[in-house]
Amino acid sequence: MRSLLVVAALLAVLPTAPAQQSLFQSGDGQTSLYLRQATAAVNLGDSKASFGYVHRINTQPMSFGFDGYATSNSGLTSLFSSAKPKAPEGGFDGMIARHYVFARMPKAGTSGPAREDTLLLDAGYGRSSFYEYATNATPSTSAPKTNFDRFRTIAAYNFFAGGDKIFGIAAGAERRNNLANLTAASIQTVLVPAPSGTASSVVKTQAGYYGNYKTYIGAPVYTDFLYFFPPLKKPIPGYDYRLGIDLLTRSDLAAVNRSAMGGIGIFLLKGSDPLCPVGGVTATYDGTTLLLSLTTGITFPSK
Amino acid sequence: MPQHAFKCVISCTMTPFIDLQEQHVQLSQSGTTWTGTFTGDVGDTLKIAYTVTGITGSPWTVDITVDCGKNAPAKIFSDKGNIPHGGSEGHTTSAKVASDPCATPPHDAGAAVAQAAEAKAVPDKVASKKAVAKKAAPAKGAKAP
Repeated sequence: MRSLLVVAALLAVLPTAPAQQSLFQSGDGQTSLYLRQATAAVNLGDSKASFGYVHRINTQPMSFGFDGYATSNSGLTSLFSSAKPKAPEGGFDGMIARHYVFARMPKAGTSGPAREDTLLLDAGYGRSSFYEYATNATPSTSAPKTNFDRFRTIAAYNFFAGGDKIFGIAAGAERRNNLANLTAASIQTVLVPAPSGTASSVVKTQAGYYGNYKTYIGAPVYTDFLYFFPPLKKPIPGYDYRLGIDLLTRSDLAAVNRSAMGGIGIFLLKGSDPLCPVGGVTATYDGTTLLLSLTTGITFPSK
Repeated sequence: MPQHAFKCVISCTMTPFIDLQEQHVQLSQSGTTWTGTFTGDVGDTLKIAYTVTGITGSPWTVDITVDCGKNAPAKIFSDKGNIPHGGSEGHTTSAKVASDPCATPPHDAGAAVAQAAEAKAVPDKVASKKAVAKKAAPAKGAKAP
């Protein structure tokens, strides 16, 4: 089963490319945790595949990274969602970070409670194309595609303490659209009408989105509190996994589309590398809709 | 004594730090593996201090070798364990370095390798390391937490 997931993840990665963000993501593909990178990740809930690289030297406070990503039309495994439509999107991000901002960099040879923090700036661009059928307008299959350019700048702070807890908060600005609030629709143009006495005709079908399309500047604020359960005291042969739990919030403070949701994620982690989840299930609730989604991924290089 | 290039390879889930001869070794990250090199004339003893951090219970390893060209690298020091509660573990120790590590069989190139293995054989790792430290002179690779 696991190999099947890995194969599926690999296939999903092929047509795309990051993620400076970790795989501890909610169903919308968002997180405030920027853990170790050089990660290829697939979030089935968001149908998002990403690949990233980070350059970091342990004794140097600054690091940088970049990544690329791609999403497909809609989530594959959103179990209780309202089938919000989404257009395929591709893009990239760049990241610059400072480590040990408030926490003290340990001296080699010393022990003690671990504390490590990171402050980073993540800027990115994404582009999607789709057909838009505006309300009260005559739909046409000859209408050109609408392009959407997504820009975002996010500042994030992560704090690791005690060997089993990581807190993350991220906030910034992002150019968004309201595609998720439109209705997935398709129009049909008859190319060859049905001959008299028959019911079969040839039609051209074009998928798009119906409603009043808008773009706006959002102000996302994300928080995560990740706790790693201790490993099994009596290891089971062949079972090298442990669990982590992620308490999360995802909000948009912009007045035009103010929203907030909270949730919880349960992740299955590699025993040898708990920062790389094998997979997880997250549930988020925004007051009206419960979204349950599945995240799975691979890491590169695999250790 | 000739100069040697000591290659440090450390794996842990967060960030490691290592000093050789009381000098920081810069480690570059690739996943859970951090790699760096220290070059210098250390005489017959290499002073080692390292700290590994990570998720409690996750494994860590420290390996110091000298590259021997076409032959297998000469092992100078090796240690491993699991991150204790609190998320951090540090040690100071030393390792015996032969004048030509590549001329010595890998398992003999660093005296600390054997001592680290000896420490692992005793259930109380910390106690055994203290015992090793008291028993052996620093030049023999004494190891204290």
